[in-house]
Amino acid sequence: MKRQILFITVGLLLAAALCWGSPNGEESALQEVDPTGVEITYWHQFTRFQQETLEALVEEFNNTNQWNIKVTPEFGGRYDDLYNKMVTAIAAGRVPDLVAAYQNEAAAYQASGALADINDYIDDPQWGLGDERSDYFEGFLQQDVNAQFGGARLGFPPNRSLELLFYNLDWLEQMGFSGPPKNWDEFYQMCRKATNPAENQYGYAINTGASNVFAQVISRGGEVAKADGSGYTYNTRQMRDSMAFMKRLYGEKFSRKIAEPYGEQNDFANWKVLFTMSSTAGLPYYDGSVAKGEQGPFDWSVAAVPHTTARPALDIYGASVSIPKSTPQRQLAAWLLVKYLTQPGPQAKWVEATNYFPVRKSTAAQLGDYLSKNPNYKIAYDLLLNSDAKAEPPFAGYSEVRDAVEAAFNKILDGADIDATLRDLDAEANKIHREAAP
Amino acid sequence: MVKERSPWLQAVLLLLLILGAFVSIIPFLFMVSHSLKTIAETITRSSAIPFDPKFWPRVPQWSNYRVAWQEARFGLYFRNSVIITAITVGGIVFTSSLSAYAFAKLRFVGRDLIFTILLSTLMIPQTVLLIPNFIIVAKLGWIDRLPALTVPFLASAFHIFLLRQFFSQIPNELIEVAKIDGATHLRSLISIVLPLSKAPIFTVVFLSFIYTWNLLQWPLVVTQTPRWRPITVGLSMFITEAGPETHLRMAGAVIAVLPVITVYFIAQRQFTEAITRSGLKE
Repeated sequence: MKRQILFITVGLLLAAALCWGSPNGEESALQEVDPTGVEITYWHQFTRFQQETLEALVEEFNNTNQWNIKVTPEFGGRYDDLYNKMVTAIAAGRVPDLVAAYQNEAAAYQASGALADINDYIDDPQWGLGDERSDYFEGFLQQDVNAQFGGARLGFPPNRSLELLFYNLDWLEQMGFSGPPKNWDEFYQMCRKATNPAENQYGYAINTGASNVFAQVISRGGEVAKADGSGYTYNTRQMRDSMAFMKRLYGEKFSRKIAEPYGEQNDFANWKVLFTMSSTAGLPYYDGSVAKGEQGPFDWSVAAVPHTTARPALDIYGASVSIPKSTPQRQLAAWLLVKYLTQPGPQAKWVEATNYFPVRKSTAAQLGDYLSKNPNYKIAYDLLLNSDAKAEPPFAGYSEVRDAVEAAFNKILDGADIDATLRDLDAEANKIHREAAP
Repeated sequence: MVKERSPWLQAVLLLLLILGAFVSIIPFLFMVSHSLKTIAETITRSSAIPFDPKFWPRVPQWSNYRVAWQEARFGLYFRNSVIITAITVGGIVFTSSLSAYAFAKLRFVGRDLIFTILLSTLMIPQTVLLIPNFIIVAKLGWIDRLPALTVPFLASAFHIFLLRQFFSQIPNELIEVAKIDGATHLRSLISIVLPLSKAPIFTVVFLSFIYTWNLLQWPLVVTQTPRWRPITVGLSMFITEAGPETHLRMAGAVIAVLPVITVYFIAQRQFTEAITRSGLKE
């Protein structure tokens, strides 16, 4: 609701903002743009060691780029805070030159025409990706192409994560299973066998977030949005199957909801839960928790979310960086930083500090022994190479839709009728979509 | 004549109050106990009941506070918060007492209408004010400067209302007598009204202190560097994307909340008295 109010306010104040506004109109041809000596700012969401690594990379860029571009990285708050800061900045015409944004947030910014189309830079013969483009994971690049805005590219990925199944291998083997479940039936059987109320053990810690719902739906070959950007499809067979499965698992007490943020990691480390589904960004935290768990370290790993599709279909996510409209020189300088940060060398440093996936295939060769030292990361990375990576809807208003999806999932688990709830969810999501549409 | 409650009823009420107080204090104790645990203990020794030994650390890890202090640059942020809060609270007390006196003791055309308009501003959600306030601050060139964090909060309709209610209860005769003796309105405010209003003034101090101390969104919007960022920004550094560092987050929370608790203990008696006398309910 807060976001909606803010969004409406932006619309009302947009005209006023243009008075001071960011320069707009037609940009000169990129070939004639000279970014030499430009100073730009980059609003990011990273804290502590991630912030330190990013600042080191930016410093490296500042010291080595041939145009003498100077970038000042600024922590703008966590995602929601950064979004509010950016919306306010757009209204006041004081945008940064580069900003971290999820795809749906970028779409919200673009509803005010605030962002540059990065296609102009990617494809440019002088400044673009050129032959290097094929080195980027195409699925990652496609995430930022937004059908709501005629295929404009509103962001560029600096890194990505996957939603995967985390499993306790020792526990599975004790129960007579040789590995993780490949499909939902196997998953159900394993959860049932693992559940032991006397020991407070259960099969799966239910994550009711929208990303997890998306992961379940695509694992059954479904989608939650129309490819042309015209709306959501939450009342599908795959969605109903997903909800029915989870409702059954929850009703039979083979699973529990996650009670506190990251509480499932502790339960996993203490052999209280056999499976969790989480982001690969959590791998080091799982590592740390398992090493310190009640029963000591054990064998655990990650696998594709159980699926009925031929190849695993995995939810791939992560914030991109968007280039707000400013001057051609500043925009080009911002693009050159983005390009630098996605070179294999900086990418390798970024991976080692954050455990995110690189966006370029050739980064793997630069990772040295990182992959062998982090076997679960390697498994996840191999899954990335051998799966159909799918992204959540990049539409304006998706943040509100995510809240609605989570609420609907919880209602269903608590006993609400699946058909009626999904019908309502579909209607609500599409209403939000219409209201937030550019 | 007040009818006395039966001892049994009193005992039950007392028991309920004790239970309520106990439940209320659990989150605070949880914060303190987890701030003193190792990261391993936050994983393996966790309980929601203070009587359970698992609720408490085996050996208190005081070093968590040092680590939290250093990793989140709490030194700088703490200093900033103290300065921002001191200026803001002082400003609020100053502007609110002057305004409240005017609304309570002076007669002028449109007084009630202006007061009603002032009260109606309380109904505007803060989110809506974010952008206009930011535009004003940006136009004044205050981005990333101390005035951006203090000036917009120096006047508060709520606190004017609160003080006005108290000032209205002070007999006008006292002001009239002072006036006969040659006192100006400012002298009456300083020498008569304010000394009689310690409780509400403490309440204003306490409430505005908490509000200012806990601000996060506005400081993030109007600052670009750590130079004037408050302690809440430091605390947000411990919100990680994919995993918990509960011990450090809780240590940071204890550090951030200590001044609020200190101020509360100082102002507790006056605060309670003011709430009782005003009929306000939390």
